[in-house]
Amino acid sequence: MRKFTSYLLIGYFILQLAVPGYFVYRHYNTLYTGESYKFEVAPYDPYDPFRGRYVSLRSSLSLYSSDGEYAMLEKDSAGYAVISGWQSWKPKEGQYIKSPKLNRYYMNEKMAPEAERIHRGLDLDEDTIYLLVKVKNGDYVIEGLYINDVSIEQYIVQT
Amino acid sequence: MNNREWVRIESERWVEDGIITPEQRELIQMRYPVNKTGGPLLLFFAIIGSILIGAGIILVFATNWWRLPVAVKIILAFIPLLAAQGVCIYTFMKRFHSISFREGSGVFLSLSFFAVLALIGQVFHTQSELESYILICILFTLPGVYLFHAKAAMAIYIVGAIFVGWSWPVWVTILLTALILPFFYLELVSASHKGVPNYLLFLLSIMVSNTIIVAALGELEMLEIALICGLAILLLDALFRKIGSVYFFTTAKFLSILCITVTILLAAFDLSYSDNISVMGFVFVVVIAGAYIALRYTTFSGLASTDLFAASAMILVLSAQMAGVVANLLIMAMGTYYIVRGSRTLTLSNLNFGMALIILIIGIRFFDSSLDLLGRGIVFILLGSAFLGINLHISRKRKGLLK
Repeated sequence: MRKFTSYLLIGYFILQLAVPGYFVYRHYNTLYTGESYKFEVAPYDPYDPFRGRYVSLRSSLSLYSSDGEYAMLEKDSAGYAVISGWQSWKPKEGQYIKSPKLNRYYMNEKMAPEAERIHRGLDLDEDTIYLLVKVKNGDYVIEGLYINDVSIEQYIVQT
Repeated sequence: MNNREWVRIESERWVEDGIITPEQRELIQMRYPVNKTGGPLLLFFAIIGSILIGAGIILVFATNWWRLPVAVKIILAFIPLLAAQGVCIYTFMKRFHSISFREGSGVFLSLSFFAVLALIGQVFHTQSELESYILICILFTLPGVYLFHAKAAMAIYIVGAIFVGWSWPVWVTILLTALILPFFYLELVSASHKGVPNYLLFLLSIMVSNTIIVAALGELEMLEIALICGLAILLLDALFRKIGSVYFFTTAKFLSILCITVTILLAAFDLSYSDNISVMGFVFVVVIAGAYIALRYTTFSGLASTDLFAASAMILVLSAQMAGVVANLLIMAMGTYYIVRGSRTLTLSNLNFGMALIILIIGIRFFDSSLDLLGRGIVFILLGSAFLGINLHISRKRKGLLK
């Protein structure tokens, strides 16, 4: 009985490691081999009790459709993402993301309110603020939040 | 120092002083063995310690998190889980008999799984909702709850299940409840301490009530749901007592009595209240109350106070068009029953509960402007006479007993 429980325990521990391991594999793969897209955003500053402080983002693109739909992605001349259309079936070619949600970017609890304050002080005719997202086979991972091509963390430290 | 440790130390002195022989001391020690697994205080410290370590690890990692490369963050994210698994393996191999170690390891394992997913979610800025995250976490911590008989980690599961139950389809809540039910059964039949069944049954009552509320909300009225919850808890009590838990279900009994009494009181507010109870609500109440009463009578002898509440719930839904009037009569009857019982057995809690019910119903009717003053006056005189009659009856009976 104890031997059986030991096997169960080992199996359970492997499963417990496999779940975050799978998430890491998928996201890491997308992050380093995916295609980059910029999404124009505006940050503000809420709080997640488990995962900590993040900036919530409002995208200038309309990213919401009914659940389960695929957004077909293209780029404009400046590298910003443009949604060329929606499909209810998995596209065979081109980059796409399924039910995209780009509404949170996790930050240090001191930096998150700073990000909101900096955004309020930006001149949006001259300054740019965007989310750099890596996309591969429908998966997407946020690489960073950038102001004038400088990561927001560096920007806060510099200012 | 607990009593058993005191006996162990003192008996050694008794042997030295020649009061008892070493053999007698051995017999005494066999009768009162010292609990080597540690007392509840040690258990409490083990659980709190595990929670603090888990929380501390998260906070330490959170400082300057953004400066670290992604690969380093990933490695750091796995450390709490690997550490918890290491502690669990040690507990399993060496200290499985220790409740403190089992409970502490269970909590540490649960929290570290929450932590690793949260950290990875943060590293990759995943956009998943809080409810999805908690659902995954509680599902993957559940085997640990079973493997380590971890009752504190089970509480984390239950809080999580209740939280996610409100945002996912009903079947998820029912599934999450069904997944933890065997744990309650296993722990209740093997419980060796009176506090354990009460703790388990309290959490079970909360979980079952939440499941009923989530499942019935929108389908049934709140009054029906409250009645069903109260009766379901009573039924659970009877079922688990039948299975083998001999301890009295105090906390859950209190919860069920509260649910049923408050429901009947709410119905009693309006005398003209007619209960347009749904067929589903009616069937649930009658079936659960019937099952409870049947189970009680086939398993336990004698009338219990809880039977009164089950029967009252049944009568209330059966009264349909007369629900308001019947609710008033039920509260009066319940109040009178508890006053009589309290004065007979000299139990102050029963007496107070009965008096509270009577005062509440009198208060409700006294301010009831839908009744004319004369009507209220007559009802109050009749009620007053009835009370004086009961009082006289009890006094005569007591005098008779004294003679």
